[in-house]
Amino acid sequence: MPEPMSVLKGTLDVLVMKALAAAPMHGFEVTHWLEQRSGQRLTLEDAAIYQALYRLERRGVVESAWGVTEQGRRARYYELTRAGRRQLAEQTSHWLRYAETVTAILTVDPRTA
Amino acid sequence: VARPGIRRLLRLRRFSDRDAVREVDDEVTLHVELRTAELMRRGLDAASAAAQARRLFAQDERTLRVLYAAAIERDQHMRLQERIESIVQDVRYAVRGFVRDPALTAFIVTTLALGIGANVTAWSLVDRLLLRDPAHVVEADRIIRLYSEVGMGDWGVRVSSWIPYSAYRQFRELISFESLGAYRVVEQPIGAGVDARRLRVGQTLGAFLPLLGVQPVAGRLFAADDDAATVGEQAVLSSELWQSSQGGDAHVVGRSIVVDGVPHTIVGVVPPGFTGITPERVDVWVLGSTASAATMNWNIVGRLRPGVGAEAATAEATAVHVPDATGSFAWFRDARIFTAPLNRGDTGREPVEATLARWLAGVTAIILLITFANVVNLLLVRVARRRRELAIRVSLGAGRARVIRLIAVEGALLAVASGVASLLVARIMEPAVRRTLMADQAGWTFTIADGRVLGLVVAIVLLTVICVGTVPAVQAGNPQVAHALRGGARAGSASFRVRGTLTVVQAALSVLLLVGAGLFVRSFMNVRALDLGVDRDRVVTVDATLPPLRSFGPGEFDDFFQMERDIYRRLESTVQRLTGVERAAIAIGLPLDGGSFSAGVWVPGRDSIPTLPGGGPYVSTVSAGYFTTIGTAILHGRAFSESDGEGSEPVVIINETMARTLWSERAALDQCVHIGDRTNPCARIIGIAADVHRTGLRERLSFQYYLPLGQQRMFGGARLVVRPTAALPVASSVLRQAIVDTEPRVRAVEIRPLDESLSGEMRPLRIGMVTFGISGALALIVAVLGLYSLMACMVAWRTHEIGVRVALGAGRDDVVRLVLRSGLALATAGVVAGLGLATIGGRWLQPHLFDTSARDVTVMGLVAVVLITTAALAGWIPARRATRISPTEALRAE
Repeated sequence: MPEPMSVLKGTLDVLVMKALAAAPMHGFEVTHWLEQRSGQRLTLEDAAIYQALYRLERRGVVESAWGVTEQGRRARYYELTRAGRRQLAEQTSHWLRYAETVTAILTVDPRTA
Repeated sequence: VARPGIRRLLRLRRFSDRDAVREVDDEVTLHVELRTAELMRRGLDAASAAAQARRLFAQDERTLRVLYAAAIERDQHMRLQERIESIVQDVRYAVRGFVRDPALTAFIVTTLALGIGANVTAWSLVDRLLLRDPAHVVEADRIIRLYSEVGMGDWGVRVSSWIPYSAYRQFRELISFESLGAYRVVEQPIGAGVDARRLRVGQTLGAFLPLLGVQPVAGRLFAADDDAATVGEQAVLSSELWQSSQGGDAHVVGRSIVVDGVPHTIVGVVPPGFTGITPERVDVWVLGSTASAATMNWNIVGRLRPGVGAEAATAEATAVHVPDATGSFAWFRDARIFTAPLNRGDTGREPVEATLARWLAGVTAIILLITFANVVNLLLVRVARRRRELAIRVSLGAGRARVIRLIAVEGALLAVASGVASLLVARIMEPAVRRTLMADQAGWTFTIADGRVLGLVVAIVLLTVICVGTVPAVQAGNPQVAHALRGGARAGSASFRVRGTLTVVQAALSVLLLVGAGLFVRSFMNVRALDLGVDRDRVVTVDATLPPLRSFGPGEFDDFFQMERDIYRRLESTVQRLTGVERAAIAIGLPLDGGSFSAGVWVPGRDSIPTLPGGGPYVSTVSAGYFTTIGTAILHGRAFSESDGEGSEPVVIINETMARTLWSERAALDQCVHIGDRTNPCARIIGIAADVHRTGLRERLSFQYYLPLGQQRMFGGARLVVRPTAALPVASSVLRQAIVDTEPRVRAVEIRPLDESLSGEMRPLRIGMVTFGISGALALIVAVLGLYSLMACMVAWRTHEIGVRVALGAGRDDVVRLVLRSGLALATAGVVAGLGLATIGGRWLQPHLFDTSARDVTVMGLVAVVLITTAALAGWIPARRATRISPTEALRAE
């Protein structure tokens, strides 16, 4: 099993948004999706996902509705709003630029600098 | 899929925090179940899978509580947002509704803006005159004025703020006062040459300016106890004079300004609008000098020590008042001393402007009532039109509260729009109101956009929202939904009752205002018709100020008067030759302004002559052309000629009342009277002149007589009376130039219409006419429009009934009568109520009317006729429309 990594503060929201960009999901599906994509490397409480969802809904980034799962169970489904998609795009590009910069600095050979 | 928002919108159930928690629980349960299932698929047994799933979800209870809190916060936030959105929706809906009906909306906003604007203006003025301290005076509630009250025997008491200097010296010792000062305002020439003008000069003693707490905008003020005799002649300018004479130059301090022929050093400038303690303008403040102060009366003002009341100060002043006044101040010996706050005028009573402002406020409050009644009426029309639509909304589950809110939002929008518009109206009205209401010499200003007035607007707007919003809302909230849906727009006889009552109220209030206007117009006409004995509006008076007498030695008065006479004779002959001047003459003692002197007359064969109610006898000294110039008729005998004067036979002209009382009119001619003293030689009566008004509009009979110029003794204060052919501004500049060129000793020239002294008495009448007239007309228009719209709606409402009547054989006249009758019934009820109100309210108006009863039958009858006639006209158009109702269509429309 790969070494677990804790989630950087502030990145959970954008990860949840990314999950919902694929399709409307209920909470467990979001958790499952993130676990799959991260190869089980992210360690966090499942409750944190729900906190992120409530936060996002309050900010109008996602909206929710009660629906029914394939197994006929009642579940609350979350969906990205239009504003949410826009924010996801912005935050993704921001994150990439940030990561690139940090990477560039960290990978410099100190002797040639 | 039912979103929580929609579910709330549909009002399926009220959503609470408990629901939020339950929903979180549902989500968590599902999550843990799904996780358990997953773990079991990986090979864990049921019990440990469930435990593991729970652990993965949250380490402890605290996490769960944080989750609940987040969900609750989210739901609260979203509920708030929904509410805002729905209000925004209401606002958008209301705006759309108004845009769809621009005429009605414009009418409502304009009506409200006028009503509120008039009130804001009036109440700003009331605030300035009644509630607020004089401008720039600090802690005015601790400053009081001293007054004297003197018994005048049969004449009652005379209250005045005049106090002799000797008493001021005594009062300076009073310990009740922190500081004491005195002032008097006189008109004196300022400047020199053609530009010299008589302006209002405030002479001060003691700590007058310092104790008021006013701060200079340039330079300094006088220090307490500065005295012109020791520190030199000094002047402090008003901001207005600083601007007009010095261009607002910052380096004004140290310059010189000529006051009454004497150069004064300018030491400072007071802030704009500072006028001391009374509203009248003061152009320049100067230091009094103790040397000359002793011969004058002063207004005394003091700042009380902290903790000392006005009563204590009055008691102390009364105690130290030693009646040692002598000579011309002897009247003060028996004076009672009392004090009053600063908002009382020189008479110790409320200034006339304050009374007028109170009226204006009352009248505008009535306007506001009418405005509200009308706007509520118009909104009811809107509601009636939309009754069906509202009923549909209610039946679709919009909820009564929601409908009421929608209409309240409409009211609020209207109120905000009219609030903004009303400030504009107030801006426009303010200068006009100030010009009409405040005296010409007023120095006080009032501003509309100040904090208190904005507060007032907010209050009025809120009141508007409540009035305008609730009544229609309650009506709309009370639709018999099913009935409205079935019967279309035919619901609402209750609405007609409310609107009928509103119309009656409007009509009554318009009658009240119109009766007021009529009474003032009647008074004004009476004044115009009044024979004052002179041509009041064709004559101007010219006051050429000469260097004053500086000392009062024996013979000096005579010399001074001789000089004045010579100068005026030269001016008279110059002015008579000017083009643009028809006639000119000299007079000492003018009519209308109370300027003539009282001097005794003895008639041979009588011990004394009776005293008439108007006092006297009064004497004027006039040159030969006086009577033709001023327009006083000589009824018998002749006027003075050029040969009457110094050294010629003593002659006199008496007035009609004197001739009729002492002899029998004509018989007075050639009789002998002794003037001034029993032993003086006989003066022969050569003419009998018409009575003239000495003091103003309200005149009591008095003996008046005239002496030819040169035969008088000890009278000074000559004026020219001039009958110009040119308009006043042109004539003024011609006269001014000619006089200054002829006589370099003239210090200033003041030219006024003869009837200007009547303006004080005319002002209440003019104001009454203007305020009641305009507001009455406004009220009438509004009431008639209200009646018209009511009748129009009534006809629309009763179409069915009228159709049935026509089908049953009712003729055109019957239909007209049916409609007109209900309209006239409302109008008549309004007239009766209005006349009742006017009869009750008349007693407050009575003292301000002239020769007119506040219950004048003609005025009341005329107003009733005007109102009923306009009401009939307003009802006629809907009545005509009703006659065109065809029974078949009316019934088919059902």
